[in-house]
Amino acid sequence: MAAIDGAERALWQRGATGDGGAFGLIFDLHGDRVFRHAYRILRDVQDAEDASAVAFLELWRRRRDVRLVDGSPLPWLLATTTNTCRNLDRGRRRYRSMLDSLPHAVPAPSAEDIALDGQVVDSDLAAALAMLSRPDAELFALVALEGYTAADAAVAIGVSPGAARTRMHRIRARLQERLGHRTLAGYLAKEAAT
Amino acid sequence: MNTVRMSPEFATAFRARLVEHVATARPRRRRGLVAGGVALTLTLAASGGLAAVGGAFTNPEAGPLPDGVDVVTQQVYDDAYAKFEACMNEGGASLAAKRDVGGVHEFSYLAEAQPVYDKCYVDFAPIDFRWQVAHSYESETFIRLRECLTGTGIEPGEDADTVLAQVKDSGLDVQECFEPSTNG
Repeated sequence: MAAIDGAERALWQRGATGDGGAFGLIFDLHGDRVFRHAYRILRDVQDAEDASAVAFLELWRRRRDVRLVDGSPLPWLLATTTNTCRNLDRGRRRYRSMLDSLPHAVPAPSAEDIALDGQVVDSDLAAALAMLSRPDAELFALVALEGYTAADAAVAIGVSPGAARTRMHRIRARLQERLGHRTLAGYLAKEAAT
Repeated sequence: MNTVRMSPEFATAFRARLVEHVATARPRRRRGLVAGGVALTLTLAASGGLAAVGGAFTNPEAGPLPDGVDVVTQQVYDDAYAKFEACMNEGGASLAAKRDVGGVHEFSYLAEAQPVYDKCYVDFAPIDFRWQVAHSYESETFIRLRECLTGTGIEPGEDADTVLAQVKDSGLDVQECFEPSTNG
């Protein structure tokens, strides 16, 4: 799963201490993944771009509290992206001046967007995430959508592995009861099998 | 599979602003206590329990160096590490899977030992942090970046700052540099 395999740790060390070049490389490494995660939830390119930008700005702002998994801040970034998507307006307010200065794409869906929409976007995903508490949404997104183990996700969101497994059991039961449609069931079945 | 990406215009503009934002940020006030961080996770076969790997910097504002220490030498680093390890042992949380990576001590500990780690790492953090940044050139990260540069015919510079600048200027696909080797 982890293509980066912890090899980026030194970039994080330098980036988190104010080395802009190193932080830029962290963005190069994970920008696309974070964007795809946001797009999966928001299904809007501009919103997903803003959510991604907010996640990286939060990575810097909260650098003292970031928990690395396999030496990478990616799981923390993805968890933060999940939460940002749930509160995008709040994230935009914090970084309004920067976001307003950035050039957004023309808001017309490309063929690529449409294709992706059918492949990885679950139309009920946002609703499912909205049902959950913030920690549960972050955990669910990391495990069910991004393929992390409950143990690795636990590190990223700062809970014990046992607590993460217990929560996932509870989340799975809750979502299957309330949103038992095919795609979501697929996510949950995949997670349950691990 | 089709992939969707940020628009190149947005990505380029945001990256530039992000780099500037980070590089020009004012130092923040330090908190009194370093929040112990978890860096790597792995499962220890013997115990089946989750472990975290330390020696992996988490807190960038790890506090000032101890009185009398101006420069973190090998001796200072090794002594501080020994004290940290002794503190862990005294707290009933032995380090495991210890190894030396580019002159940096790495280790793992069980997740249940996190409170002990948090207590013990506070004193080690300022020294560990400075040592790791100073030795980033020999880290796995920079070894891969240097290999990537060499692969494109660029002679890597002799310090980490130069390598970072070379990577940026060369336009290398950093993601490819960090992907697992496909040639064995």
